[in-house]
Amino acid sequence: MKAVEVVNLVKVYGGGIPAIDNLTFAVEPGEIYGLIGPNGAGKTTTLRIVATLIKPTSGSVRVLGFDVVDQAEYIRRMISYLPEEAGVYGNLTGYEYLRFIADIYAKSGDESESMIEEALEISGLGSRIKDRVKSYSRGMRRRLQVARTLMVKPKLAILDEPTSGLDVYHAHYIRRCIRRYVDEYGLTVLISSHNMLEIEYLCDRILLIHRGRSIDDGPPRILKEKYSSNNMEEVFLKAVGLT
Amino acid sequence: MNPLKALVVKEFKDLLREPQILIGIVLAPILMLGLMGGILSTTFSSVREATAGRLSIAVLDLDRGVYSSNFIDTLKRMNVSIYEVESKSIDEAILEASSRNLKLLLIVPEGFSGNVTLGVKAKLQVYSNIESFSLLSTIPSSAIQAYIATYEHILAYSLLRRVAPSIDPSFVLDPVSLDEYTVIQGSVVKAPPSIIFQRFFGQSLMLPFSMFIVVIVAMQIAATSMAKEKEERTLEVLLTLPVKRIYILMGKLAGSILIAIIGSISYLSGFAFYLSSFSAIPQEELAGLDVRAEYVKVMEIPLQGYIVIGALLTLSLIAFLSIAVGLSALADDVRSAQSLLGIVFIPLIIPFIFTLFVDVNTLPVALKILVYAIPLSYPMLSINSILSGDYFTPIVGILYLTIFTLAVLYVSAWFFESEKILTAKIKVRFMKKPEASDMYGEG
Repeated sequence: MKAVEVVNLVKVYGGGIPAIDNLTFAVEPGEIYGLIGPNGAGKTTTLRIVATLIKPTSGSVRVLGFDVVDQAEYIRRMISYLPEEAGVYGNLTGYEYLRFIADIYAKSGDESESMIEEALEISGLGSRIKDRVKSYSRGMRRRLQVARTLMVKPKLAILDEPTSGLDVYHAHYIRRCIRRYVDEYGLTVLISSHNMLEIEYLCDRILLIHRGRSIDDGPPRILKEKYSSNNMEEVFLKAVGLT
Repeated sequence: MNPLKALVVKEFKDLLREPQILIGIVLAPILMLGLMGGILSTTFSSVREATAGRLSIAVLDLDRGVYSSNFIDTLKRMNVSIYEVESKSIDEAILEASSRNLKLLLIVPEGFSGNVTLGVKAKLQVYSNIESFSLLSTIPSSAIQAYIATYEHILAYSLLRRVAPSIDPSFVLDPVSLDEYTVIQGSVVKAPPSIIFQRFFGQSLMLPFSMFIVVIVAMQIAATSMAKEKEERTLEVLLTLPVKRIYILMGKLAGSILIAIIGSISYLSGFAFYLSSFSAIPQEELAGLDVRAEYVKVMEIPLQGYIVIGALLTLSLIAFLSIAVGLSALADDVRSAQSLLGIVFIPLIIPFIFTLFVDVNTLPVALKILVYAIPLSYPMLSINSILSGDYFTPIVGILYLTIFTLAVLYVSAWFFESEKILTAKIKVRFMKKPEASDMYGEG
């Protein structure tokens, strides 16, 4: 069974131009799969459909064997989604926010506590965790969000630009955390990023998307060889025929 | 923890700590009404002190006749402190009174006694010296009017005795007396309808009135809470959590109701304090409002009546809150949500106004249908029905409201399940076309 299976996916907003046009790809369990493409390529829309937030116009999307339209409730029990610009309730403290999420996912008080402990470690917020979120910097909020997403150890983590707004040091640290969770707990990760370095470092396989269509996919090393390129940026430009 | 409980706790904390809600809904009513009550209470206390003390006046007697001295003696007997000015003209007398810090100058013009003797209307003049326009500055004038009226009564009495010794003067002075009764649904009560209404308003209408405030406040809170999820981009995560979407809706309703109850307690405590400040008013002024126990019985709503009204109000609250949450989920930000909410206030206010000021049965058919078609009319309409022992309207109301509320909940739940909750981005701005990015999702 695939972790994510997208077949002939089309998404049209309000009768306009398709945001996603006949997209097909599959993510194997336990791998980190990256979507790369410019703004408006359809990455976020794809992630939102996989996260059961919006529905496909046509085509099918299955997550861990369940259909995103008919079995969304089952899927939500197994996924954890980090939107690109996820907000946090400013009037809650970081700790209260983690507690709120943990109480929803955990089956017992102990499980909830251990989730929060892990999140405290991932976020690295220290004593600031007791402060209201509205006093946090953008980077601190992002770290809290990443911690919230990983602490529940979902079968599938959907991460939209996980390190956006983070400085080099924290971005590196968060990438290591993601890698560690995949290795230790067997998570599957579907990730989108503009950061080609991040994609190369993290992803087992990547999908190049342009204007809602799939251009190519494969492991970064193979793609670099295929397009005779030194980095993923060149790969993308050559794949879409811009160089 | 139960996911629903986690959602309610989160809503409650997030909302209660919102400065706009904490100050505007929780703190402001008790502070504002408390402050107003305090001011009124202080004013009335000083009024009472002012009226309780002995009235001091300056008098210029230009008449110096039998009746003028009789008048001044009567005032003295009524414990008015009299200072007879030495000046001979009115202008000088005003200055003299003012220099002695006397607020009132009473002038008995020349010919006062002559007029009374001849049976011609006699005149008196009073000059009030006020330093500012305040309630306090009107008191001496009102007080002297009362003393003069008393003297007038005494004078009329003695004149009548002299002119017609065989007739009882009190009959001539007040030949007709009025006893007013009100018949309420067959029960006769000895009081005019205005007093009955005041009693009714104070006692029976306070319940729906306070609930009306709870509904309005809760709707604003619910709308703010929902719109904030969108504006601050917390909704996306919320919608992917492993909880039933209907729980998210219910969490919002419960959180808003809890805050609205706190807000209403604040409002009602402030209001109660405000009302209590009126107890400082001199009691004789309240005598007209005093309603004896006999009226109260007729106006009482029986226990089952309260249960029926409670059920109607609870149903209305859920229905209107669901509408508020649903509507605000269409909006892109808090401001737009609050503008959209204005639409819902109209059907709330119409029945409230009509049932308060007019008998719905006397309205033209079209308006009558309108009032009966609006679900929130029923708690108000039912109070009148229950008082007359008619439970038909309330029962119909409960059935109608139950169907309406279920329909609203069903539509809201469907809306929460659909992607529209995330993609709908109505911006209420005057004269501005929606932008492409307002209509479609990103990426």
